[in-house]
Amino acid sequence: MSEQTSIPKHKLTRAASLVKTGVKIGGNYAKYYGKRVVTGVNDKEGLHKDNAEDTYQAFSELKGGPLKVAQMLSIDQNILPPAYQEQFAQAQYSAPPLSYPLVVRTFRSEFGKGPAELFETFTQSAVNAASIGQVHRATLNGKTFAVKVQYPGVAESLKSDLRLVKPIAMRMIGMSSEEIDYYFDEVEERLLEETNYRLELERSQRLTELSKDLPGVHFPVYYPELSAGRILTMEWIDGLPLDKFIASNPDPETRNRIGQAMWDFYHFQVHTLKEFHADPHPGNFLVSADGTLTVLDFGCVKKLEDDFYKQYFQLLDLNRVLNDTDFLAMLTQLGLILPGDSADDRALLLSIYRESIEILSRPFQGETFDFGDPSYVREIYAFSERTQANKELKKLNSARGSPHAIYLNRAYYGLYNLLASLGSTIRAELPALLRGQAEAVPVGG
Amino acid sequence: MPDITREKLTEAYLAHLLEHGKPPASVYKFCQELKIEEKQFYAHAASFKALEGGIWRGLFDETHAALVKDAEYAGYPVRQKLAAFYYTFFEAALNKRSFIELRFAGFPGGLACPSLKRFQEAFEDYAKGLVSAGLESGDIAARGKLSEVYPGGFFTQWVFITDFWLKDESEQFSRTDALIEKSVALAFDAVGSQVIDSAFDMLRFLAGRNTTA
Repeated sequence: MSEQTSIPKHKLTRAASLVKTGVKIGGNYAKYYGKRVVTGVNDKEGLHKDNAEDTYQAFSELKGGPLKVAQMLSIDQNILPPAYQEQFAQAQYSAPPLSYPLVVRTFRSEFGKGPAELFETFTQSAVNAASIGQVHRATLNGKTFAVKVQYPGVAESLKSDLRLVKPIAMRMIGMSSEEIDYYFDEVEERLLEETNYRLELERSQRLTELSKDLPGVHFPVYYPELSAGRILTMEWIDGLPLDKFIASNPDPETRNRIGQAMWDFYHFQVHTLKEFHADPHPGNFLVSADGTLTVLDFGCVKKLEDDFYKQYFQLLDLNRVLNDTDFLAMLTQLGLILPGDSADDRALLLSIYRESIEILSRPFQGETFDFGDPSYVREIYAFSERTQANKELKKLNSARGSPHAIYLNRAYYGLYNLLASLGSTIRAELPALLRGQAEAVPVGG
Repeated sequence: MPDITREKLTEAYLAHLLEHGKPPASVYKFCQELKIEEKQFYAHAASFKALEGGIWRGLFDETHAALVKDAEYAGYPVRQKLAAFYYTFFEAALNKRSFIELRFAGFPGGLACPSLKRFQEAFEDYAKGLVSAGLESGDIAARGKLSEVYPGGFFTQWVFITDFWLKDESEQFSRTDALIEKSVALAFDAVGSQVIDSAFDMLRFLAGRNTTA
């Protein structure tokens, strides 16, 4: 009897479980400072771990907004210390199922028919949990389907959820209210879109159609006639989610092939379609027994405006990044350096941004790149630890840059993270935007 | 004088009731409007109250028939059966929402609404069946005499959900769906074992129901 029997959906319920977390985090800090005073040892990693577990406990009792935020944060390595990520990564599999009569009720209100009338077979229990829905397996006319059913009232409660998460997130991450707002407005917009399965259907069909000629990557077929506002039906794909696939210890050649397919998929979407799947967590990638990679879930899609796209990806041009005047102009254009910054602040920001671009753009710069090299991931961690600890940097209001970058960063962090777990060596090239320039001038630095 | 069926009579009565917000002044007056003889009315119902009782009872029968017809229903565990009853009931009730609203309005919480009697009897009868099935399967703990009040408790739960549903302004009444899920869980945890967690969960849910419109 592991059926979900409570959806702590209402504001007060959520407030209560989140306040619990706030209190606990406070307690953990007390523990941390106590420990430091007593032992003189700075057990910050331990503190993060305690906080992560408590926060995760609270988040896992919720569906909708907080779970999505948890998932998002879990993927953004720049924002979240590793201990949080580990805990939050579990969120992807943790949401327990809703009772079958409620699934039937949802079908009735969408189609006027129950699942048993619409399909030949339909599993009464969910076969998989998603953050704002659950997946059932169904068959009809010899075809097998994955049917995603949304929890009731998710769209409605998202906004109040996010308002509740805000103070907790501020405390966890150490951001000001202003910074968090900047982050949350964009997140809220994407999250609300995710609750609209009709929109997801339209995007899934359109983006998979546009991507269908990409080698090595497959997409399920979507069925509009079996989908509605809160129900989304697609072809059932047998396969292991990427993390389980990695755990099965595949050979290097397969790792490289899968990694390459993922890289190409993202490269094509970001640089050609300028509209991309912004939810690269392991549960959205399935590897079938024959080694086919399938991409699922176009619920979270981000579209890039031309101007922003050009400004952002010009940063891949290291020659200009290494030229102070050019670089300052680019950063100012992107809002990463503000007119009010002092000369000292500028110099600090310039060097920090330059270093981060050097590290993060490295996969683009050579012909091939080995994500399996653990020193690369260590370097990223070390860099973000160092910048997070930098007092001078902390003093600067860090709500900078375009909100459009949030999901773009998220997608690339997620992709890097997955490729690092896969240990793939991939061939990469600069986007067409830069290819001419990069060839004209030898890469320096 | 034309023949009149019980359905036609009920329909005409409901139309009058909802249009005027109250029953016709008398059976005589009502029959005049319908251009039938008074005895034709009594052939179907002894009073307006009895006619209304029939409307309630009709809702129960419609719900029950839909459940029995459903191939999967028989295989559900008892708590899912009760949830299925509620979900099905509130689908059927959509056609009579105005009537239910009118009747619940006069009787806070609906508890004292006199025309509900026949519905209540049928519902508690049905709930009794669930309780004995639950006792057998172990989903409901045998608590001697106390188990006898369970059917009445489920009826109170029904009244309570109905009251919530009448005030629910969420799209497709999805908050009522969530309440059903929660309150059925709570009820079965109460008659089963883990009471406290679910009770707090639901009380908190209800305590602030008007704060996020």
